[in-house]
Amino acid sequence: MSERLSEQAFNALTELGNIGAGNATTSLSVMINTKLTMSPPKVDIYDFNSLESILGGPDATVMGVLSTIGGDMSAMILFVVGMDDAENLVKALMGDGVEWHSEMGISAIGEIANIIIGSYVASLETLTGMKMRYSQPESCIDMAGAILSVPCIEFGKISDKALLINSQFKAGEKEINGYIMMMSEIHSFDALLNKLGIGGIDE
Amino acid sequence: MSNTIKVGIADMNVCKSPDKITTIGLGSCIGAVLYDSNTKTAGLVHVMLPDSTKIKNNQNKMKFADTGIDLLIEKLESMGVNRRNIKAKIAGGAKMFSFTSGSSDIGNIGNKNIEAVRARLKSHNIKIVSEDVGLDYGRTIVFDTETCELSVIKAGKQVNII
Repeated sequence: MSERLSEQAFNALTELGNIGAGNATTSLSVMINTKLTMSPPKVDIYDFNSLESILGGPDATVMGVLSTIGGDMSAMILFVVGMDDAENLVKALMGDGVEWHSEMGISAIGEIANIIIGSYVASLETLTGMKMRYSQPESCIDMAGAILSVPCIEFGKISDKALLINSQFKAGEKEINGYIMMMSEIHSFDALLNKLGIGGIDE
Repeated sequence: MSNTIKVGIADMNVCKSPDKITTIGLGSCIGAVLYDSNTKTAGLVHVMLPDSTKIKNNQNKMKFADTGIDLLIEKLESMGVNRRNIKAKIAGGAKMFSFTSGSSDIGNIGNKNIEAVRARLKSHNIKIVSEDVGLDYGRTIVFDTETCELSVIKAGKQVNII
């Protein structure tokens, strides 16, 4: 079985990622009062073992904030920053006085993720007319592989692959780099593509 | 010289002394090492889910605690290992995110995996010599066929040898 995205589906998902992550990045940009740039989202189908390499290898330590999406579509959104990025993010938001890995620093990043995820989901709802609800995001600092095992297990109940819309943002002068990843089991995207008048994913 | 054999997610492999076998970044998944200290042979399976009978798409046997462990035992036997000499060391099954709401079992899957692996090993009369399971952190594991030691490495590089 080899799923692949039609060009039309690929373009549509890239555009959704662009708008969703674009709005999310704008929210973040206002919060930290810094200009952010976003590279065009990468849309692809990954098997679980190749997914880990996106975040610098399975044993790279990262901070991930995860929210599950339910409603008309089930998916997950994962906000990921490296350790240095987390430090710089907290500095940009709260000044030098706060240790990023203190309770306050971590909850600040959690709150940033909450706003980012909220604005991403709101964009998707507006664009597709679908109703989605998202869970209170939970954060975790650990190995990328261990963090990604959580969505992989969830999607693993249905298949061995995940569809990922991965957007990367950068704040040049403050050296903040991060990812906003919307992902799900492949056929969870069918409903969304159908809403846009595009066929689902070929098998 | 010894090599270190890598095992991915929902994957399995075996090795003999002097090689080592590893899997990187276990979260809620379980790494189960089955080994025979006499022949210095070991196998590692990285399972994601507890029960293949509850999942429709269950062709990949290495994905599940039940079929993954069965398959690894068969593989070791095909290498000349006597089933009665097999022992186990297991790690993983963490709760990475503390979700409390929602219908999903994200918060609980680690525990279910631990229980399923223990139960399957018990049904084969395989003794778990040591384990480093549960809690809330990820683990990388390396098994040394020479010493039969399992190194459990956390993010930040602290090592627990079991």
